[in-house]
Amino acid sequence: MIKFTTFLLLLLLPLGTFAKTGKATPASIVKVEILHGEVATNFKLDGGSGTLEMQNTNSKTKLRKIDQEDFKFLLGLAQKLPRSNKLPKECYRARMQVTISEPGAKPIEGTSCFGMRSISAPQYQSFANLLAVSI
Amino acid sequence: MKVILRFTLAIISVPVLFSISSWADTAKVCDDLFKFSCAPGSFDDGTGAAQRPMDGQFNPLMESLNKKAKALLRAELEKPDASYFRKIVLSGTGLAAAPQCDTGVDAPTADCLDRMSEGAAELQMRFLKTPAPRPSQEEITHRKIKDIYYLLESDQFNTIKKSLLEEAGKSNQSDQLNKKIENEIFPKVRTLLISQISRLVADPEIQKKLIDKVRAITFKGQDCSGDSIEKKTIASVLVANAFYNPGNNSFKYCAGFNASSTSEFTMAFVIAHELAHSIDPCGITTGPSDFSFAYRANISVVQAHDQYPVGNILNCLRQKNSVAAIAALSNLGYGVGSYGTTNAQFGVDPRGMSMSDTTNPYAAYGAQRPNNGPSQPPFKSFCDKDQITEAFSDWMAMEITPEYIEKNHPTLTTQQLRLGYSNMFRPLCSAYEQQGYDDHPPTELRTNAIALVQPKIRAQMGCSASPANYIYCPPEGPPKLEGRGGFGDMPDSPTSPTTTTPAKGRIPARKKETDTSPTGATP
Repeated sequence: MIKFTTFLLLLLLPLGTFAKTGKATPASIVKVEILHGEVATNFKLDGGSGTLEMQNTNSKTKLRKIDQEDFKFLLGLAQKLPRSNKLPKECYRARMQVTISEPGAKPIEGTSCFGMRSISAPQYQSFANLLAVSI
Repeated sequence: MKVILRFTLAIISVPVLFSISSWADTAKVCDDLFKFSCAPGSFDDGTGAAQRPMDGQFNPLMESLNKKAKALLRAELEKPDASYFRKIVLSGTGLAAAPQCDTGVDAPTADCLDRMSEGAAELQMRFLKTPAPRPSQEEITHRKIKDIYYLLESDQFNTIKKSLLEEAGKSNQSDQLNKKIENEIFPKVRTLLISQISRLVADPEIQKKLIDKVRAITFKGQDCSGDSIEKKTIASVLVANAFYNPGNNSFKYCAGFNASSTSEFTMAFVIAHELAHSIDPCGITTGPSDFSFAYRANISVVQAHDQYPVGNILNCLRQKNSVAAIAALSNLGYGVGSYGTTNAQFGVDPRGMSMSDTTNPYAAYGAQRPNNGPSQPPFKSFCDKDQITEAFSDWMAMEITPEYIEKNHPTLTTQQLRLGYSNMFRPLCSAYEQQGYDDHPPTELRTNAIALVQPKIRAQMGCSASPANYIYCPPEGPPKLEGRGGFGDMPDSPTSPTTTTPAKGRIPARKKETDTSPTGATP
């Protein structure tokens, strides 16, 4: 009987572990792309790996860990940005784009123009600055 | 007599031998200008000196601003009614758990106040400079982003930021340089761009429109910090940057350049690049609709390349043996691949998106000829995530800069010219490999595949006529490239006038064709 129980345990434990780890849930990702004249900066906020990554025309890639609370906070800020995914061509030299990809949903895009007067620009820039200062 | 002759020969031979040995020493610059452009140190080319962008800790202005930030923050933190601000700073700097700050927010010790002002000043300085080359700062990664947010949003922090930005703006700007750009360099560069338009655009109607537009460009100074406090934070006043604004047909040469370069090579190149944006493949379509260029409706991407009326260089700039300018796929109607507008991936090598890559729509160029019907991708615009605008502006700036130098600094030596051309990109030096999408091709390619291949630049630098690694894109169309890949190899090359839809009024070197389309290239 003991032998049988041990056998069952040995059989079921790995199966249980597999069931637990095999259920990998896709994570939310926020991507931020900024072009400001001759300088480009990209951020990637990854809820799965818990990281904030930054690349800039003039610098090395930078990376920092973030916890779930901070991720949700930043995701919330990104979701509150005004939604518009169409920019006039006059914005091609100075613009910002935020893309939120959440599991099971179509990516949401928001853009803002920095080169022309734009009511959404201050909110987008505040968000970008928070990311830049935090990393 | 013999002694005098020998003495004279010896005197003459010293500089000659020295000059030959110097040439031999620096000849590598003819194969790789990028490497030297990113070398440390300051290099005077006879028109001014340039160096790589300075890291904050070595930048005297940053040091003085840091001191001012600490003093202002300390004064704010000392105020008896600032206990909530002190709480925000303690959390935002991670000092809430510091033993020096055990006395609480209502009665902080001098030591605690010092550390708080130091920590908050560090965040202020991060605000002031957009990321510069430096190692990642692990020491703040434990701080909660939410706490940093409260600090950045506080009135006290923003009032101090405003004062620092004003001071940075004033210190970095130079009235003398402003005047020099406005009254000397900009008008000369503009005249040279107008000459290039006259040379490269054959159709008199289009030529006139472009020249009128370039003539109307204005210089809006060196203050690139924007018109609101939010904008000031992202448009750091300390970063070498420049803008062409299609909205009001103006450009700015940002004060951030001043700390890194006083060289006219840098200024002529940057100004020429910005002015060229007014007529680049996107910029050419901006401006009053009745007087700007318009691509024909319902055309393919390939046809759009051919319709662009300034020279015949776009196809060449897409080639891997040139700068390999890439486009985000979704802009071209594909929406697939690893680098669409909504699917931009970090870690994607933009070079992998070049002509020979099967995921690049241009790679299918040969198979999807314009007359192949529906499989040809429809053209949307060159205005959204397409490196061709930057590649073109670099190309045009490289046509203009050697002309500018020849006219305005005719006595420079070969050594000075070599230093000068390395100084063009020195303040923009980026030795890091691009991983995400950037509208700019990598600096290495901008330097070596556009600047170093320009025939006049090579001649001035005393380099052989043939560049080793990349091709020059001549305005009359891509060169025939035997065995090197690229469009030139195709039997039915897009440069062939029998299969393409050329621009109305391409350069004189090319046979002009009659535009029979009902939706003609010009409105």
